[in-house]
Amino acid sequence: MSRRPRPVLAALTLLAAAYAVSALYVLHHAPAKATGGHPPVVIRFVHWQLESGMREAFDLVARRYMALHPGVRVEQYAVPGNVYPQWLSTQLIGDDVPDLISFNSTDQSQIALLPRHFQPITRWLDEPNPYNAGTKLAGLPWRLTFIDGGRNRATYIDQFRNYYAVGLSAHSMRMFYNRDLLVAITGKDEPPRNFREWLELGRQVRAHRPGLVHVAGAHDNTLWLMPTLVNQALARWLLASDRELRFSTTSFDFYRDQLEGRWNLRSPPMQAALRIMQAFGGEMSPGFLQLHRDSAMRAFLRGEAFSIPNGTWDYPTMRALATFRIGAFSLPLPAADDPDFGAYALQPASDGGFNSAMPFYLTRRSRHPEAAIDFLRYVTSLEGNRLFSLASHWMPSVEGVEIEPELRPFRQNGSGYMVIDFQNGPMLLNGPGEEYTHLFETNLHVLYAPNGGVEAYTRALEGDFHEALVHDLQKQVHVQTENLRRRDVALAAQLHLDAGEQAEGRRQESALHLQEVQLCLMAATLARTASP
Amino acid sequence: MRSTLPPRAGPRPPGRPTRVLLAVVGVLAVAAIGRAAEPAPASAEAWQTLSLGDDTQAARQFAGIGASREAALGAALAAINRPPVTPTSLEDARRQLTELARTSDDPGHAAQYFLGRLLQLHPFAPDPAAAVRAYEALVATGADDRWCRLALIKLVLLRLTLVPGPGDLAARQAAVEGALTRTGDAGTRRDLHLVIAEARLGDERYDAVTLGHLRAALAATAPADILRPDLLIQTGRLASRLGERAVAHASYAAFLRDYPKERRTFTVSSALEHLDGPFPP
Repeated sequence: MSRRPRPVLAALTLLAAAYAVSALYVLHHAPAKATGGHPPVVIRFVHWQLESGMREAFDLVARRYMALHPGVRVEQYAVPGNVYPQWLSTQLIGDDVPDLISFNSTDQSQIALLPRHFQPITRWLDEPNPYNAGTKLAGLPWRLTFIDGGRNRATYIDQFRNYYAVGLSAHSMRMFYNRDLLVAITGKDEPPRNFREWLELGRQVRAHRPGLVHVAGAHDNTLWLMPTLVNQALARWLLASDRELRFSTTSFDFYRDQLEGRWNLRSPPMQAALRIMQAFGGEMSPGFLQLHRDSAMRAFLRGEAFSIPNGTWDYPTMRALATFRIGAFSLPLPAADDPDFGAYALQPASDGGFNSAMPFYLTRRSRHPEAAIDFLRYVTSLEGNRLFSLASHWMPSVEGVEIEPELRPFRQNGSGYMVIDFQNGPMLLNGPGEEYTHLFETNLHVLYAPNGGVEAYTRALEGDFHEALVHDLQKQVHVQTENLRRRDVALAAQLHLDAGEQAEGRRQESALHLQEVQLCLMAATLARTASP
Repeated sequence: MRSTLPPRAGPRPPGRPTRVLLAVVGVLAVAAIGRAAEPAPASAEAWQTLSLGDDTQAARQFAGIGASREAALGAALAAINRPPVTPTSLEDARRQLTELARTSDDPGHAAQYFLGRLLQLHPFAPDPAAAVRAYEALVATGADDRWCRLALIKLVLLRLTLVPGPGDLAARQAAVEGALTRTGDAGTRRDLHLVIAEARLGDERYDAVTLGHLRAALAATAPADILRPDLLIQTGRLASRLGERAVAHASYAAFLRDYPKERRTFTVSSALEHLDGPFPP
C-alpha cells in the first residue's frame, strides 16, 4: 500500500485550498463586462491620507469619474503613513505598483531615483484639460490651471527639467483656535493683528481660567512654525545676504556671510530672532519640547488649550472631533515700530507663494497611462477639484475653484514680500545640516528655562556654533559635489539620445553651471575661513 | 483494488504534482535561455539607462554592445559613479578614460573632459588646479566641439572661484573675458556670460561689467527658459543699483508680464514701484 507522509498531504491540501480561495476571489472580483463586452480598464491609485473624510472624498470623485467612463474602474489604496515609505519601496522594487502614487520627498537621493519609477508628464500638462471645456479655464494648458502654475518643488523636478506630478490640494500652516473661547475671553471673534496683540491675548487666556494654556505646543508643531515666523520677522535683514540679486536668499548666501564675519549670534537681528523665539515658546504648554503633536491635539480638542499651531491637513480631523467652532489665523508678525521684535520684518509677508500639495505621480509600470492621466485631469478640473475640496475639507489646487467659507482663512497668502529661496532658504533653527540643528534644538530648553533666556541661550550656542556650521557646510559641499558628478554623467548620456533629449540636456547643463559656481564659491569661502 | 505490494525502499518516481512542478520549471528555464539569447541592447538603450542614473545596469548594457569607442566611453562613464564608489573604482574609471583620450576624436575629447571632471569632483582627493590644466589642454586643441566648449566653461568657472589665474585682478578678468572669443557657439557664449555674471555677483561686484554679462545672457535666453525669471530680476536689481532706470523698469515689467504667478511677483511689483527711492521701503 502506498502511503504518503502526512505533512506532504497537509501541505498539498493547504495549497489546493489557497488556490481555490484565490480563484474564488479573482472570479468574484472579475471585472464586470463593460460596454461593448470589453473588460474595464482598471486605474489604481495609492496615498497615505487617512485623515477624517479623505478616503470618502477620493471615493466620491472616483465614483463620479466612473459614471462618466463606464469602461473604467478606479480603485483606491490608502496605506498608513507610518509604513508608507517601506510599503512604497517594496512595491517599486517588486514592480507591482499602482498607476498613480502620492509621494513627497525632499531627500535628494530619492529625487534622483524619480525617473526610474515615474514618467514625466510634461507633454500632457502642456495640453488643455478637456474636463474644463466650456469653463473659464477652457483652452489653457493644464499646468496653468493650477494655483501655482502646476510648478512647485514636488511637481517639477529641476534637475530633470520635467513635470512629474500634479497636486490635488493645497495647504498652509496656521494657528487654529477655539472660536467660542475667543468670544468668551475677549467678547469678539477677531484674531490678533500683530505679535504684541497675540502676546496680550495669551495673557488674557491664562487669566481667563486657571490651567488654560494659550498654545498647545509640541516639539514638531513648534519646529514647523517657528522657523517661518523667524524668517518672516527677519526678511529685511536676510535680503541683505542675497548676493546674486534674485530676491531669493539661499542658505549658502546667508552662511557665507556668517563665515566672512558679517554677522554672529550677538548681531542685533539674531538677538531679535532669539527674543521672538523666546516669546513664542513662552506661550506654549509647559514642557512642550518633550510633547508629541498628538498630545497637543488632544489638549486642544479637550478645551485645555486655546489654540494649536498646525497644518491645514489636520483640519478635517479637528473639525470632526471638536465640540467647539474652530477658527484659524496666520501668526501675526511684529509691527514695524515694535522696539524688541519689529525692526527687521518686511510687511506684508508672503506665506511663500501659492503651492499645490498632495502630488500624484504616474508610474512607469502603469498599464494604462493615458487613462490614469485622464483620471488626474478629472480630479484637477474645476468640477472634480471642487467636489474633492468640498468632501475632504482640504483647499483646492485649481485656480478658480471656489473655496468654501470655512476654509478661507487657510488660503495661502501670495500677496506679500518673498525674499528667501523657497527650496533652499536659510532656516535659523534647521540650519544647513544636522550638527547645527542639533546644537540649536538640544539647547532650546535654556531659552525657556526660568533661569535661562536669550543671553543664556546665546552663551550655550556660541562655543560650538562655528564648528557645527563649518561641519554642516562642508558636508553639504561634499553631497552636492557627489550629485554634480552623477548629473554630469547623466547629462553626457543625454547628449547621445534624440534631438529633444539633447536640447533638454543642454538646458539642464546651463542650470548646473550656476549651481557649480555657488558650490565653488562656498568651497572657496570654507577654505579661507574654516579655522576659527 | 488496493495494492498489497510493500512500499519501495528506493527513490519514489515523481508523482503528478512534482511532474507539473518540473514542467513549469522547465518552461521557465527555456524562457530564461530565450531571453539571454535576445540581441544585445542597442547603444541608445544603454545611454538612456545611464541618463537615468542606473550606472550598474548601463555598464552591463555597454558591455553587451560589443567593441566600439562609443561603447568604451559609455562603460568608462558608467564606471565613474557605479556603486560602490571607491578609490579603486575611480582609478579604474580614470584608466579607461585615459585609454580613450589617446585618440583625438569625439569619444577621445569626451574622455579628456571627464578626466578633468574626475580630478575636480574626486570624492577623496579633489585637485581643482589639476582639473584646470586638463581643461586648458582640451581647450588648446581648438576643436570647439561640445566637450571643448564644456571644458571652456568649467575652466572659466574655476578661474573665477577656486583657482584664480596668474597676475592681478585686471589680468585675471581679461583672461576670463577672453574665453568668450574662443568659441563660435552661441549657447556656450550664453553660458559663459551666465557663469561670469553669477561669479561676479557672488563676489558682490555690482558694476557695469556684470550688468553687461547679465544683459548678454538675457538676450540669448528663450522666453520659455527656466533661467529667464531670475535673469530678469537680476538685471532689474543691478540696473537699479547702477542708476540705469530704463533697463531696470523694462526688466521688472517683463517679469511681471511674463510670470504673473511667480512667488516673487509682489516683491518685484514693490521694487518697480520704488524704483526712484530706497528699496525695500
